[in-house]
Amino acid sequence: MSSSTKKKVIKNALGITALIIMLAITTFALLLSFVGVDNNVFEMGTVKIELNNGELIFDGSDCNLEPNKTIVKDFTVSNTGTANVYYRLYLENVEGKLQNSLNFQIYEGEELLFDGIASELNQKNPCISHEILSCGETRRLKAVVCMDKLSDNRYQKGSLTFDMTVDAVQAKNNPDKAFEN
Amino acid sequence: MKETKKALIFSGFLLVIDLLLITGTTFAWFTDSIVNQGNTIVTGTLMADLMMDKDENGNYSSIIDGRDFIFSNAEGGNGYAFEPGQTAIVYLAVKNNGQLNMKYNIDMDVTGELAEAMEYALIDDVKADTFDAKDWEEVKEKSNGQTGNVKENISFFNDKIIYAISTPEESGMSYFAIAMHMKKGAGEEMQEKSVTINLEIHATQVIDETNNE
Repeated sequence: MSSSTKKKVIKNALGITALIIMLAITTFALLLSFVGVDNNVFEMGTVKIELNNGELIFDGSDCNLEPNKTIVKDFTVSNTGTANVYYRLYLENVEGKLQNSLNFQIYEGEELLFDGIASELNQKNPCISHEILSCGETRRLKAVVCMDKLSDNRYQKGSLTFDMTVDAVQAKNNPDKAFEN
Repeated sequence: MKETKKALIFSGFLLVIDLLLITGTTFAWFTDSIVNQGNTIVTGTLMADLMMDKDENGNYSSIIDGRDFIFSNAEGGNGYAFEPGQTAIVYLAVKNNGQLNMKYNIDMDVTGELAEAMEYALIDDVKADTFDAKDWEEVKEKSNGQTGNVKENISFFNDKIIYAISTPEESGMSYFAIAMHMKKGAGEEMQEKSVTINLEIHATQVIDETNNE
């Protein structure tokens, strides 16, 4: 190995060493520049709805319907979650021989949300709130049930049983008021 | 070439999966659902009963479904065998046995030759111990015009409401009396003749102030 080659090797070795040292220092400096913020918590919003405070709306005790008689029941829908929601309301498990002789109207304030027989108020054709139900808000609704004035004796001692369901969905990023199902 | 084709198919498949995942993500929202279970709406019942104070002692008992007769000379009946000039009065009541307030009409369906020799009168709101009339003329006077010759079909319309037992206004009963009188001028030819009267009560619902509107 000639002397000049030896010098070059040494130079290169020194250069590599210097670069490694610089890299190490830089890395160290970079590490030192980080600042830690611990225990960051991301909490999810909740969508939670309540219907009439869990109390039965039509308990059957004060009805005694007869042709052309109307009964009115007030009930509430409350947003007990942390997110603003839209809600929809419908009936399920509708049973009994009064199905076609009772007309239901559902009002939110003065606005008529539904007008028809019980079996028509189903998941595919629900009442949908037009306004956002803000978190903590309770909205008062009214169910007006009228027995068809042409109902004859076949409907005496008749009954209608049903479940009333309310679904809520977040209002944010949901301009079309789309529910899951 | 074969390998390229495979790679293309695999890429296409991945793209479809990606699209599905994106779609799935787009349609995810927070939701909640609650059910108010066991709602019940029931209709009331409309049920009328016809009662009679057979012994005129204030005890009314049901006479529907052939349990008793209003005017009958048969065994167990109230012993009325008419003769000219005779007046017979029976004390009746319509009872509301249902859950709905009601009104009623009374229809009398008459058959038999003796009918032409008979007159009738219907007196509202009377019981045996509250009704007093000396003769047929006085009975007719107290009937407020609900009187006449017995004929084929006679109807009395009553606008009075009989409240269901559960209401505060309850009495549940509407009292009245029916009087029958054989005309004094009825001739010999009426002997052994008879008249059959079927009394029908037609009850109907009353939509009143209890309507929960």
